Amino acid sequence: MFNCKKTTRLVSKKIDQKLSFFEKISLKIHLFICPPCATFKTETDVISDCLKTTTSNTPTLSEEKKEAMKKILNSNSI
Amino acid sequence: MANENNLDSNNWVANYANQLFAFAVVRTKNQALSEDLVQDTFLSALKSKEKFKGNSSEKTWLYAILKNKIIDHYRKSSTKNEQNILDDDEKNTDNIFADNGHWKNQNAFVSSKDEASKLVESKEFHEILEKCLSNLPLKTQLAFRYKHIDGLETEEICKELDITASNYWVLLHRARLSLKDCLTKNKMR
Repeated sequence: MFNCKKTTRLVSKKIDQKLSFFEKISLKIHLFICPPCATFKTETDVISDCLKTTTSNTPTLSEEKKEAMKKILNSNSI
Repeated sequence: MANENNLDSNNWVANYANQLFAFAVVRTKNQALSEDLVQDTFLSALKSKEKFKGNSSEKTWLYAILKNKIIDHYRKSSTKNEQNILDDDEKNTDNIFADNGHWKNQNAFVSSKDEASKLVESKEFHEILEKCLSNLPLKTQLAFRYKHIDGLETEEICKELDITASNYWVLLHRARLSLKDCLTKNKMR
């Protein structure tokens, strides 16, 4: 039976990698009986979900900055 | 001015500046730095024009240069921090887990499923999350952003950040524990 420290590692691992059958079962059982670890799992999900919905309101360069860049490029390309 | 190997440097700014800038901003969260990085990218590209082999598109080539600039930036500013994290993994979790591997405290920033979905919608929570993210060591932060915002594959992230897969997993796990800690503290205030 895994302790909490190890279980949180499995929670992380599951996000990036495939768990072995044994790991899957151990994780399920531990999360079922351990509220703090179950909460940790929910919290990692909240974080992922938040970042997924991060609307990237695409930043753009100002026209002045672009003109400045063009000038620098021109003076360097001759 | 001759266009070497189909490179059209006169139109780089018009064609790519905004895209490259947006790409850099997502990764660095810093607009002024991103402006510099894009400008450096164009200048480096200009200098190494003859090295452009033409087996990738002009755009791909510029992106590759920018990616390297971003990595260099992080490498300079974060090597030390990250090394400590990887070395002291045990020490780092000391304040979270007791010797027997149990939680030292049960503080949390989510108390129910209901609250979880509310937080995902909350603008204020997003701001705290962003703040906590930017407190992480830079490479950890970047690995986390690449994974969760850009959805990049492990292999690609490791290549970009010049770390091994096992380092990457350690960084991500550390990031999740630190974020929990930071979000909990900020939410209780």
